[in-house]
Amino acid sequence: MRPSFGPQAGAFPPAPSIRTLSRAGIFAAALVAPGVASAHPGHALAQTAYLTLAPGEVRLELDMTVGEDAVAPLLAALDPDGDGAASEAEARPWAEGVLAQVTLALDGERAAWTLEGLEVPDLALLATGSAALTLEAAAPRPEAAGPHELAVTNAYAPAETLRTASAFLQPGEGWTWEITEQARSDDGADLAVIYATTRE
Amino acid sequence: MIRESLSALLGVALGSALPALAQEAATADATTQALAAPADARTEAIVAAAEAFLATLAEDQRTAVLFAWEDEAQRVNWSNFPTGIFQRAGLRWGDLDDEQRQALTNLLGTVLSDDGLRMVQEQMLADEVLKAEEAEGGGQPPAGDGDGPPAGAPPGGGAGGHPGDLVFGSDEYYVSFVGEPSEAEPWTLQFGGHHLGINATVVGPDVTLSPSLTGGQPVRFTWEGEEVDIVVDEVTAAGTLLGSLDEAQREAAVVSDARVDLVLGPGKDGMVLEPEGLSAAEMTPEQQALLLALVEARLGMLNADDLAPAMAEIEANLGETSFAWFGPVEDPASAYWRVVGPTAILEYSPQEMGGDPSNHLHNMYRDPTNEYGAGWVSE
Repeated sequence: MRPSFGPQAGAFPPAPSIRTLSRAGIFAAALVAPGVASAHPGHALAQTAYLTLAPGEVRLELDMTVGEDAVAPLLAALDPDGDGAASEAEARPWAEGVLAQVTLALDGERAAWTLEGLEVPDLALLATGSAALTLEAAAPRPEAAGPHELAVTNAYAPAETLRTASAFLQPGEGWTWEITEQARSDDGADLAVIYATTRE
Repeated sequence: MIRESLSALLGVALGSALPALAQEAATADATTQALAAPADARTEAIVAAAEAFLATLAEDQRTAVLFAWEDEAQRVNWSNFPTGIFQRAGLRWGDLDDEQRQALTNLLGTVLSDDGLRMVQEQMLADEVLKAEEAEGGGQPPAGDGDGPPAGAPPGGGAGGHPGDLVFGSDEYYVSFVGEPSEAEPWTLQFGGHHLGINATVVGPDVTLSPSLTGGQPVRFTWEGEEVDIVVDEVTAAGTLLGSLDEAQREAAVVSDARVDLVLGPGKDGMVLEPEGLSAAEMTPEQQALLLALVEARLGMLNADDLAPAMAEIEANLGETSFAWFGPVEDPASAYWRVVGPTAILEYSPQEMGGDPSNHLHNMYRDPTNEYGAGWVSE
């Protein structure tokens, strides 16, 4: 049986994921979360998107690390008042703006993201390329047995950008999915996934 | 010879560190949470080496290095980041005396193969090279002279430090145990630092390195006149496999001519990449052998006794295994590739920082059915 996303049966639960904001919108400004790998992007902005098919929704985790060419525009967006720190009032609009450029279509219908989590590291560390921004979001996804398509385009590119997106499965509540086909654009901006939904 | 240089630098005697294997099989302690299968000779040797290392420690060192098996925070407390950005817990190589370093090297040499131990030592040496380069370049001031991590760095987990406080060098590699070494109960040996995160979980007769991070920067360098190439076998194997593909196979395998970044790095436990690229089922038997050789070029860091069943399982699942390439086909060392199968996910991920992507790698190995030995513990 193909292993799937989620806790391994056994002695302990999975490692904690990036902290999520409460739906009341508490902002978590923190140092880089334990264990998030730096992309060491060199000159570009590196974006790694994790798209998870979960019951009733699609979840997005978007990790960004900053190369030297992307530092100025990104810091200007995160810290417009230039005080060296990204407040919630500054970071949330930036994150919402990023999400607006990550378009999601489910079976051809546009789906809207809701921002659910944001972790912004110390901006000085971020500027070295050795820390990551992490943005979490979710979009509702109606369940129905049969073949389906998920298509994502990440158009966020304040500077030269190295992008990749990958799809993951988190079965539950009697639903399972199997990815039967994936297609990507060469620039990593687009990912299309054909999957089959089964009701157990 | 480079091995003599490593010995001099790291203050240990090199060569195969495998002690004589015990003749008697271990028996489970009925009063403890006994495992179904008794330890084999390899596990007995590993436990003996671990106990020998622990015996060299003072009480405060022993307290610092041992974490409970239930300590979830410590289990995931590993990273590719250097000290200054990420604070490891346990005992620091730079704070160990020669006897302790030798005992730890013996332990690593019992868990790993000779190639694996050499890889670890070469990665530590690479960080010495990086430390020297940073000092010459007027970058981060060299630290790690046995004085410990920068002041203010948080203990255990989390990140700390600020630009200018990055600490490179072989002193900044840490050892820790999650669970006490035992033939009867599960435990994990952690050894890592910049670009290295070895998580070796022992469960009775079995050992897994899932998940483990390797790579380094630089991976090719000259040390005292000797040329070192940490990943030459892996790069050669990847290029040989890619070169063996016909046009149709290559079109399937090469997903993109643009390199992508590491996907399942630290913090991504429990996530499983979907197969992509060229299925091994679409390869000839000769090509499948090349694929297995590529996998073994990475997993061969594990001792032969425990590598064999892991490779057998991977081979048995070849029909569900895929090989995907992202990046330039004319330069295998600079492209990203991954092998995804039911019991093995391998990523080779060149990084741009430092100028030459082929000389800065973040590589991952995971067994999605058995991270930190969870699959065995649950049986």
